[in-house]
Amino acid sequence: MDRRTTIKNLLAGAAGAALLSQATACEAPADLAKVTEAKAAGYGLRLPHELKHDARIANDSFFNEPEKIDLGILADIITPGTDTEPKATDTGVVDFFEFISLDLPDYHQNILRGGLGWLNIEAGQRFGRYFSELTEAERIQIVDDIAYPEEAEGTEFEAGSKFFDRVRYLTLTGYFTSKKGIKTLDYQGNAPNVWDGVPQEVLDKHGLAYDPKYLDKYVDQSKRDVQAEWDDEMNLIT
Amino acid sequence: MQIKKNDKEYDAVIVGSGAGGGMTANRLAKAGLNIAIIEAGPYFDPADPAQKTQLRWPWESPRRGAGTLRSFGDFHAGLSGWEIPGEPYDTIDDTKFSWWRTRVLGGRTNHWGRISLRFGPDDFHRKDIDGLGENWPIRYDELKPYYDKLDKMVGVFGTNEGLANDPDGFFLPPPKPRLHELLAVKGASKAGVPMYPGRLSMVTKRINKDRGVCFYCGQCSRACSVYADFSAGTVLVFPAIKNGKEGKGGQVDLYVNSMAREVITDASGKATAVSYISKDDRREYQIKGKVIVLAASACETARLLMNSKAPGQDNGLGNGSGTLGRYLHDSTGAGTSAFIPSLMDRDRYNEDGVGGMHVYAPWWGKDKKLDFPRGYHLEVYGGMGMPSYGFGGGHKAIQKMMGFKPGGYGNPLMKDVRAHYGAVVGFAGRGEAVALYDNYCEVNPGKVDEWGIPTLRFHYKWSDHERLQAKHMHESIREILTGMGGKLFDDEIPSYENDHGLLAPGAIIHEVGTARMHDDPKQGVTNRHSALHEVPNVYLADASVFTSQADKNPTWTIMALAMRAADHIISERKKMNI
Repeated sequence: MDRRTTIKNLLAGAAGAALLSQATACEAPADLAKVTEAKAAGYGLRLPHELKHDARIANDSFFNEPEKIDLGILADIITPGTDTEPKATDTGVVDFFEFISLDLPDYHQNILRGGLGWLNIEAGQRFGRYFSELTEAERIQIVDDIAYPEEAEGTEFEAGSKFFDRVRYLTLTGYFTSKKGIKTLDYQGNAPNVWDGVPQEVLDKHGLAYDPKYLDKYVDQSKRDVQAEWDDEMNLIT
Repeated sequence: MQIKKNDKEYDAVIVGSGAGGGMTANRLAKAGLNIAIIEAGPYFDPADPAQKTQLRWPWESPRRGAGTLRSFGDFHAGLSGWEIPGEPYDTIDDTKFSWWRTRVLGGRTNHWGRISLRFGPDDFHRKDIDGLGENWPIRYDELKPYYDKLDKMVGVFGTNEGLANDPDGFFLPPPKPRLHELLAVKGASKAGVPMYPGRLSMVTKRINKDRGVCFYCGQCSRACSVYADFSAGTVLVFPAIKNGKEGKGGQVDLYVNSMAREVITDASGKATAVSYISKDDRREYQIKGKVIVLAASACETARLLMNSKAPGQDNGLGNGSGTLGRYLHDSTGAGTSAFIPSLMDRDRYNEDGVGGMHVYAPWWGKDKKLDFPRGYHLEVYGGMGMPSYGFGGGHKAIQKMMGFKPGGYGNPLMKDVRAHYGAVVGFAGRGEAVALYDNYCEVNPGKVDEWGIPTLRFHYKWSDHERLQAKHMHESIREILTGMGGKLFDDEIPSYENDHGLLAPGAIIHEVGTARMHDDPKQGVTNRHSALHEVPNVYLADASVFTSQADKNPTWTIMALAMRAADHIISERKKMNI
């Protein structure tokens, strides 16, 4: 039985039906291919104070346009993309910077806004222009001074490196939690499946094996839909 | 003020719809009793596409799952957390206590890790063994039939290992361990710590027609849309409501968004009703019941009793012993994690598994000579989980361990981050604290929440029993992680002054003991059947009745006791005692 047939069979029944109508799997089995993603409003049950919080953010703004441009330049230096992978700004990272700064203002606003100020002062002192007007080589010259926190500590670049550290963290988080970025990580989960252990080739690669003592105790996925019954001695008999 | 009184008198009014309240409601309704359930939070059905968060992707949350509004992240179904707007609490002196509240149908069972461990025979009489704390008035044998019924009714996977204090059960088959869990078992074995398949309440094999079978998305904390994990709402309350409508049991009426305020008593001291504030119109209502069951969580139940009175009971209902709110204790918790170089650049495949650990280590040190009493179990975490807010945050520490300059940018950095994905493994210890009279919650005079209900304040200090246990947790965990070839994120065990890394009480969300069970009415609030000594028609069905918390997670025992209390209610009704 190939994987798709397995899932189709194993998910049959009442639970399967519920699942089929609501599945949002990206790698859906053949019979799920036509099912469109659930498009319920919002992202699950929200409490009144949560709705208010989100509505407040929707009507607010933090970064101005030049700040957003600078954040985008930095994010793309951190995650430039390749022939097959998108760069940071193609995955909505700047919008994420904006939202998260309004969502966690005490934690993010001052370090990001202050850091952008620092960056433009530094650009002005070194090159007489704003950061966004620098050549790529000039930008990298500054970034190299602030990209390694241990080297920057105790120097004139310490504040800049703390700022860059935060930009790097938010870029990575924003990128790998975005629809396009997560694909580059090759995360394969968040999809209905029937777990039957680590693939044999992976076990072999790591020199590991399942303990034979437990092999007949682990769930037999071909019998997962068979009603569980026990004898009086607590032994599963189905 | 006019209180709106409902003329209908229920056979039982139950406060709380979580493990204890849900189980009591289910069992009483099955016996034909008409039930009202009062729940402080909203109605919640994870099968409703508008409400479900299961299988949603991180980008569907604008904060990418961050915990801004929910302590355990934006998709978490255990609504609320340690802080709830409008519902404050305080601490006394330098107490560090965090009070978790869940306000939603099903209560904390929407949140918990589904680790479903029976207490063992020793756990009911620790005082006999080490001279500390107090024995329970009941023993394992009295609760065993209820644990047995519970296993078959709710479903829990595991294996029968014949361990003396970690009893066997009617288990569903466990899932195979993930890669990092196989490594963990190996590392633990080197350290002399035996690990076994986990014991979690997810349905890995069909248990009834109403519930689906696990499809291994690892998202039980978001609540399951096919009801394959245990949540009190989907597994206990929904079937009870359905049976009532079909005439197969008593009627179950659900009052959601209703914050219980007081248990009302008559001139004879008998409880007659529960008063609550509707969150919808902020007005007070009363529901009458022949029996009142409180299952609002240990501290919330204590608060409700403290805010109630009866003739001659001025310092709280059923508090003649003066122990209401006392003996509050949470599980101990400590742990750390490591980077495992052999897991770098892993092959990718879906290893989400069930929403928790596939293996664990029950307490192995019973016969060892140790400088602390009681014990703990170990939980393991790791793997290629779904990225969420915070992803990439640990990359500098790993770069440093691998001898690289931390920081950087560009594709070399991106390559590092992808290589490190799924290569971090951690362990957490969860152990038994000794219940102390001086650890308590009490009503804070002069302070009310937004519903006008007096709030709580907490006094809690760990003792060296717990600190030294945490030190031992760290020693064991570090030995195991190192044995797995891991590089520890923090090399040193936190100092004595820092409680050896012991988390603050409340952090593990296992608080119990505020109305402990005791045969002597002077030493405990409840009797061996979970009823108040002084008000026999009030039963407590949550962890408030625990005389002591074992190194087991409390939910399975909450439900076994709730089942037993429900059976007592049914038999007392037959005898016309209540």
